[in-house]
Amino acid sequence: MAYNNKNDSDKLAFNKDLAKLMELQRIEIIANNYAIEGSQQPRLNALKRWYGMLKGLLKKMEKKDEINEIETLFNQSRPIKYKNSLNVNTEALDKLHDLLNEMNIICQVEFTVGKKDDFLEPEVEWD
Amino acid sequence: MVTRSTDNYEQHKKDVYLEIKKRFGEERADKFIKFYSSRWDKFQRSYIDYRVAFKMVDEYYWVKKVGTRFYAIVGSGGTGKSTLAINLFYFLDTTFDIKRANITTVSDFLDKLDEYPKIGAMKSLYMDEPDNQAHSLSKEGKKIADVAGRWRQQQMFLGILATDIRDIPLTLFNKLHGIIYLPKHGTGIMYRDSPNKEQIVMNALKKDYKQIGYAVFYKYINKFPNLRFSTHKGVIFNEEELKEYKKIKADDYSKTIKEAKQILNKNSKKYKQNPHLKEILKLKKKGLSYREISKKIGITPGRISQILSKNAV
Repeated sequence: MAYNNKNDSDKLAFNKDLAKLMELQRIEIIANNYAIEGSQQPRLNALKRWYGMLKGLLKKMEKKDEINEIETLFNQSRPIKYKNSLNVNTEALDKLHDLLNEMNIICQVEFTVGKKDDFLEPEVEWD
Repeated sequence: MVTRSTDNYEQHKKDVYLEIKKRFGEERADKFIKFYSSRWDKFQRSYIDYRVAFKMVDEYYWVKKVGTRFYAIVGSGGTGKSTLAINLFYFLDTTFDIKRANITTVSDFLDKLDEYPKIGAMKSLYMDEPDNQAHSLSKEGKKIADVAGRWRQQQMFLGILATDIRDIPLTLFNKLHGIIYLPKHGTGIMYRDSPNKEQIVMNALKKDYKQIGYAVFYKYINKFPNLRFSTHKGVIFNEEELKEYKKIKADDYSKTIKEAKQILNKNSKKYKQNPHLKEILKLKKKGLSYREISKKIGITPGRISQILSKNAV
């Protein structure tokens, strides 16, 4: 089951099915594909909302001990703006993924860096 | 946000079309979606990330115009190398079949390569964890390098799957145009050389891999263009083909075990039966040095050391 936090209807769907997800103890969150070319702000906002949802889920699952560790890793792994590009601590991000996987929370947070980050540029004409 | 093809294939195609049109214009989007549909319409879903597919269409035209492209797919066991390879190589060449998904030696790979026209073949072929590790300076290694040096004209999509970059024979590594690393099931990172833009990443990856292993793929994430993508579950084969594929894989594994056992048995017999061993041990017990033993029984000190170490003495 995949959720994105792009708009409110997704958020509503998230809350509605939260009980079901908690029963399954499995959640898949996709927090990529939010960048608008030339601006990284939407991506950061998306990440913040994703984290908010994750924290809510953990509280309801009574995983209080893990929240601190996740918070630390989250803060380390969030992208930092540097000279018009984003720097991501991929090691912390991987640790975050591993920790969540151990808890049976399947999450997918991906960052690609730079403005043209969703595709590799074509190198030849297609004819 | 692009709809998943497994949720709604037609909507997925529309979303993908708009994404590509927005970024690369209508002409490229039209051509891409035609290519994409010709591969996935019959399944009513896609089997590779559309961004990887976009790069692969570019590779298709590269092969058509310039010549053979050669990719490596690396990652530890269970990360989905074979799954990705099957889907990717089918995307590039729809005649790709189960027989080509089970090539495990460089020699079989060369045999298969020889079956296709030597110019303009436009076929895809890869080797899955090849066991042929010819040294780059050996006669075999040089011959393989010779073939690789000339395969451009054959216009093929070639690949090699490996758990460890060091498992890729050096002669072949030097010919790679790109590399896909699968860190865990579901995700991948793609790097490739872009000589047109003076971006040569392959050498840097290989050099640093020795020191830091797979972390090298993250080291260059800000330096060289790369694509981080998702991989899909499932392969293009139907159930029967999948059964056959698994059977061939199991048979191949069994063959490898037998070969390994044969070599081990042969070696153990060889050294246990060494006629000098008993005498060497006797003299060694008396406190004689290798040089003194060597003079007595007429074999070099190096050979004595070899016999002893092979017999774990």
